[in-house]
Amino acid sequence: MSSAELEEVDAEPDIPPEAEDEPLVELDGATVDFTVGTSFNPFADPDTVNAVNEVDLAIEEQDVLILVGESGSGKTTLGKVATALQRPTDGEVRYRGQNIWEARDGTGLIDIDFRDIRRALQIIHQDPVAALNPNRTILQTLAQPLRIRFGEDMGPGSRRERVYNVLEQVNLTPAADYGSRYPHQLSGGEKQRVVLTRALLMDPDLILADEPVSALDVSLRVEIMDLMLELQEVFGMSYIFVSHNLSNARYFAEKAGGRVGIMYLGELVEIGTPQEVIGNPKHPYTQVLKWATPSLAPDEEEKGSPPLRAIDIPDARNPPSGCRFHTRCPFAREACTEIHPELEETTTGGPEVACFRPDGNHEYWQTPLLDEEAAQIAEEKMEVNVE
Amino acid sequence: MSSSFTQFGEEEQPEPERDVVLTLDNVNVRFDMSRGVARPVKNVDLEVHRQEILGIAGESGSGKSMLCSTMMDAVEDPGVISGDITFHTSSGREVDVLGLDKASLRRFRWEAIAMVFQGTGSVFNPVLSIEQHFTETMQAHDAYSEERVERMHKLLEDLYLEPNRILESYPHELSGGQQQRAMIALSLILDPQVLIMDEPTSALDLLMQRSIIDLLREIQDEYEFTLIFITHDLPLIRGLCDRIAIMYAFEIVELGPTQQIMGKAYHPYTRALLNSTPNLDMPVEEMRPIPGEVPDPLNVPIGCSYHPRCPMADNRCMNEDPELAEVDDNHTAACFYTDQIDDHIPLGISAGNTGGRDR
Repeated sequence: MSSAELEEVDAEPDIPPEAEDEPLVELDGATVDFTVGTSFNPFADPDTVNAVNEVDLAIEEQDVLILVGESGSGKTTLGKVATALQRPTDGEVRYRGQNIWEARDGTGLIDIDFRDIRRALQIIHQDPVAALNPNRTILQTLAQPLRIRFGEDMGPGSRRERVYNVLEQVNLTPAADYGSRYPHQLSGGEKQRVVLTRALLMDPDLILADEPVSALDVSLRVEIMDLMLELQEVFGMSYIFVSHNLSNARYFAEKAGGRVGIMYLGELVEIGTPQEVIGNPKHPYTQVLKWATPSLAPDEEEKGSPPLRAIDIPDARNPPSGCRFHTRCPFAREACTEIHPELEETTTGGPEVACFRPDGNHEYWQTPLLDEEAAQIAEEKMEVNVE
Repeated sequence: MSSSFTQFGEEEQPEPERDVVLTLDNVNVRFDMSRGVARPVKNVDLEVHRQEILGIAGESGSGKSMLCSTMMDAVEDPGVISGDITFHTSSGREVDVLGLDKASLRRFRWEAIAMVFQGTGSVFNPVLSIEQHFTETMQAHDAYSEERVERMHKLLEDLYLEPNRILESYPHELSGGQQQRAMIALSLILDPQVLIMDEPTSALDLLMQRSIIDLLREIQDEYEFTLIFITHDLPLIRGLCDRIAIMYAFEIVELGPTQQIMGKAYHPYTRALLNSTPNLDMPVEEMRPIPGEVPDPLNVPIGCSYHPRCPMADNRCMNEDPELAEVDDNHTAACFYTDQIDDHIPLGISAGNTGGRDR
């Protein structure tokens, strides 16, 4: 297949010219409530879990955003909202200015067809073993996205050629050999490459990578992250990279020149460049995460348990009042139990933080600490100031 | 017979020098398969000291889990173990692990050596409560008694679990961190002298990992057992382990005190592993993957098994297999060129590393 033909098949779907200035994907007050556990009692009120709470976010072309948080922090759900895999229960999600769910439902003004949006927003999952059909060869698996995109316009021969081309780009060579294999004949790193290839073949604008390297050996992580960045150079898509590991987040964000967003119980609590957020965190939660990240420095002293007031994350069915982190935050004061901090730029510029502490004049400072001992321990351990 | 086994760990004796709890002497595992012969454990000599915390680290497929199954004579058919594995009871008696009959072996596991696996989800029986797991385990080993029940409560409390609430729960009602802590308590109920943990925290969040690592140190100190911790995550265990063994291609290639392994490793593979690990300390440009792949167990390179990936490899490495040799106090490495390592593979992290040439 010649490159001219390729371009023809690859012709971009019609994007209205005024959409050029819009962010690739924009979230406006996006909220997701899940209904859970009605059990067998039809009279009981169902519980709702507030997985994502009023998040505003914009992803630009060739952007990289890393979402970091514990299990249950809503980072994957937020990523799915941004890639049209999860409908928000409240708020709006736009793709190049087009409201995604209006396009889906066929309501309102539709400039961009939902099928084009669906194609443009792709996902790769955490566990590549579960994401690949064990009964299909790699070629069969990878031909499927092309079939969806081009239907009868692309014959089996062209499909095969196209798959082999991309396999070579992700360093699975000889491509014909890899194409004929089954998933169990590949190593973990190779499977993750196949999953990445499958997303690429849809020619996406944005890929949600959900913990793409956490199932891999530590020694393979750098390699796969480098590959993802190389592919971004070639294909020009954006990434939302979900991770619970600050070291991986820093590596990917710093190399890509992207942003790191820290999530806690459904809310973004800090967002900025990795130099700001990881290098000099302002939110106590980010500070604890950074403190707890294992260090390679051989002469580092042993540190003991994390300086938190509680180990376990609170029940998302009943999130704490005020600042959601106040039940674990070592620096929490009375004010934190009542007032909800908004994500704001710090007065000195830099990252956006949802905490009162960067503002030296906030009434927070006039209220008593909830746990002076915890604050003192944390202050010593993390070398930050309580006063 | 049964009386002799309940004595594991219940006798007090004055400590001899460098008390050893488990000795592996030239241990090999061999699998005859249709494609050829696999040797997932090769020529391992190892002394595990009593009450130490020993880390075993390596990539997937390096043989670290297989080595630990070998220690309990739990290799599945058609695997065949050769060599000698000796367990030393606290009273100084020697037990030939590979010579135990079936019934003795059943008692040996749990009572002498217990193991905690990676995914607790598949270890707990979903239709039994946590308390039933404890009861069954105790009964199966004829060890049900008031004191054991007390021990159960104390263990759970020491792991920051509320005994009454946890015991009546079913596995699915607990969070991942709680399950893993309950599993640790269960594995210690019969007072084993050695506890082997296979990637016990990799499925957990960072903060929970740190808390569990911290708890492990506390309870190891209190209950005085030997801990063998298998992982692929070196930075995680640096604060926990006394010694670390690095495995590559089914062999131990380096073994030494944690500080030495982290700061002054002598084997090129150990250094490559450290330099490939994402972390917050090094400039991102200095973190780089290890080129090449872990060898297929059916096709391990001749000579030093690391030579195809090693930047220092020469003719000798392709033909001769280096043995573990002393490079420093209590520190051994299997490489011919440990004296040149600093020139070829500098460590990205250099704190405490004085260039290594001062020995």
